[in-house]
Amino acid sequence: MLSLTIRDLRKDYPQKPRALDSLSLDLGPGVLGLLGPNGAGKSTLMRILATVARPTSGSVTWCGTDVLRSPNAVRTVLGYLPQDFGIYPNLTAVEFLEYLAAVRGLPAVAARRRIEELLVLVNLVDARKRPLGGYSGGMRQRVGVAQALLNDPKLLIVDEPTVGLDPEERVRFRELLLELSGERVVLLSTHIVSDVEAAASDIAIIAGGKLIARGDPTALVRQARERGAPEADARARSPLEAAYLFFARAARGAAA
Amino acid sequence: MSGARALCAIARADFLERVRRSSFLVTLAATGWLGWLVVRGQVTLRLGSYTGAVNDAWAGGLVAVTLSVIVSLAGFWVVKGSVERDRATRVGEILAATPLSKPAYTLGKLLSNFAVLSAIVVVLALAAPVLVFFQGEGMRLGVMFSPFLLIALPAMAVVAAFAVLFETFRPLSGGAGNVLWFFVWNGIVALPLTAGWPKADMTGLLVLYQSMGAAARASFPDYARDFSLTIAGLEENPARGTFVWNGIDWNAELIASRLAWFVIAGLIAVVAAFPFDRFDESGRRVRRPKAPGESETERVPATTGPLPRAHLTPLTSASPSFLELFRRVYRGELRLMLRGRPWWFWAVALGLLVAELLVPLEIARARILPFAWIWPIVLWSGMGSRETRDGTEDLVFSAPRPLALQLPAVYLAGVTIALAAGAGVGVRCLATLSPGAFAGWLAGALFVPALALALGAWSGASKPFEALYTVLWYIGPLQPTPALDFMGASDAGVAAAMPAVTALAAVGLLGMAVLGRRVRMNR
Repeated sequence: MLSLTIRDLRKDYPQKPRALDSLSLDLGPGVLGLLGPNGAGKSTLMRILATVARPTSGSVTWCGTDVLRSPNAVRTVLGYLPQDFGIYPNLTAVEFLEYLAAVRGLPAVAARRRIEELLVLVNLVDARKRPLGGYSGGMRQRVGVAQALLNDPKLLIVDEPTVGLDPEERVRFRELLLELSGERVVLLSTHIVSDVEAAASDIAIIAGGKLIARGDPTALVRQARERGAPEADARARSPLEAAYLFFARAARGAAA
Repeated sequence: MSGARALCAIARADFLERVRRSSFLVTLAATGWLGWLVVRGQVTLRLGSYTGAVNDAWAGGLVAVTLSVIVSLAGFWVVKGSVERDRATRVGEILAATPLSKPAYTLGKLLSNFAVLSAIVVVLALAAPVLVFFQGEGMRLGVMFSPFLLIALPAMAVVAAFAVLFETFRPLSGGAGNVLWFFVWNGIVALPLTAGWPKADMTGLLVLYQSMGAAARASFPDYARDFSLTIAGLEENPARGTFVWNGIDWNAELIASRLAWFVIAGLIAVVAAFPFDRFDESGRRVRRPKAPGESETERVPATTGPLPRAHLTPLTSASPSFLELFRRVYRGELRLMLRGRPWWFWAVALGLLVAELLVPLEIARARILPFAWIWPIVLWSGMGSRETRDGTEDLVFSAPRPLALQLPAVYLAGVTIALAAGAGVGVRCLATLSPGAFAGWLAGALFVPALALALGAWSGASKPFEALYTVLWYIGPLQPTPALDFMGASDAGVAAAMPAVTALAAVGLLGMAVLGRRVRMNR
């Protein structure tokens, strides 16, 4: 059984507010949607789980293995799409993915087949032999999605994955996450409530580096109302968005 | 008026952005160290076999010469990069959408560059009174500090302007410009002194040389014309005598000739506005297949037909061996280094390789090999820093075993380039059974990429390697200085056991590279 356990995670940056504050989460197979306002600590959490940043304290365990001590245990099964990432402008999409497949330790033949399938999946077949420097922002993002899926990851961490994608691609990506989620742990971070609502049945709301609430959309709406949220919020497009706005406002108020 | 305000705003914001970076503290620390060497008497100015008695004028002159020689060279590398930063941070795009004119932008950058260099001048200038306090006499502030105001600062203004010009002229904005600056600087420093042409005396060295030379000649009539600055006690023979120099006799003409360099700096900055692309990336060259009539917007279609269904075959193959993976990562790294260079780059590299095979071996080692190993500097300078520069750190560092797999692959790719570029000399050393020369050549091929990797891994930038390697290359193999001949260019270097020293240095640098990468990964 796949599991990712986060315990009392804290991250301090010099001369900045605490990015993560005693955050604990348990993740199993399926999509966990991570919602939070800008600066909530979502990307910091993602980077720690992806082993590219170290926490100030706390622990992260992947299927019983301490990730902080043995980062390779998670790196071999990890697919990671950072919020901001670069490309090598003089390489084509195929060359870039071949390079990352080798870096990630994929067998050559399997990598080649996988790359062809991924290029079909992200709709870049016609542009596969063009240098990435000529790609639009949305196309680069699709290359990012492809590289995250290169190694058939058991743990998929995607940070604001739909930024730059057009509406059709966004819908397609959400469907893809649902298809992939059966036998994997997927962590989807975003501040777009509709994305998380469509792709995740389990949602965690964080603000100020702390876990504010967690549950399925219905449970979150109920929790918000139990804590005093109004029945309707004119600015919200769905009950979940209203609950999210309530929790975010409450967290801001508590911090102030 | 609004243009002037915009210019000042650009200069101010850019200056604040720079001085709040840790690299600025490193720059000031290096400047402080240089000042410390001055105070300890380890920076010496000689006129032939003679030197000046330490007084207020001499201390000011000594520090001004240090500024004109060292800071005018290194200062360029320190300040160059502000336009590129605006490009990388995308602030440039925001500026480009404002009414800001191109000359206002380049003049703003000139002011910002000049402010940074002026800070270095101020820090180093403090060494002059300290030197006098401990070792000399006299505290005429006007005499002591006038060389900073009228010699050093105008020179810094021109250096600041050249940095802007090199950045806005795209062929010189990268590593090629960093290397070229060394040769431009060489000409700027040497030309007025050798040709005695005061109009080209940007650094002000000729003004100081003529004034100090007259004082030296008055005390020692046998003094001819030598004028040299030595650092860190490299000068072995003590001075035969000291003379008293009371400073430059400033007159209106001399002051005007120095202040004119501020105007020239401004003109260079205005000229820099012409090639400036105003952050329009559409003109940038990206390698792609040619398609007649293809427009920029048609380059890559945004979407390509209906969206397909997802089908991903599960990966079931066994993990490949480390060697197989290493071979593929190595190939990828080599491709990253080699890709995107124009045809003439390879033509010159090939020409140098052919020359290595055709000219006598001694000439090939001493004259062709150094050029064959400076030409690929832009290929090496991305080593260890490419991930930072291109924003792929998170992708590469989250992969398994990045230290054991990717970093050695980068190094081996760099060594491959060195071996290929100097193959003519290597093969001939083997063919002529010259083990010493071959060892020197091989050690050089191991050392240069190790230096690039270590500096890149620690700094996350290519400039430190481009600057340091160019200076080392010039002083070591090209001069040649046997104690710094890291590529076996001279028999004297080989006899001084430099191949072994160089190989050991390469090992140490590789250790530094691993450490630097580890630090960067654990941030």
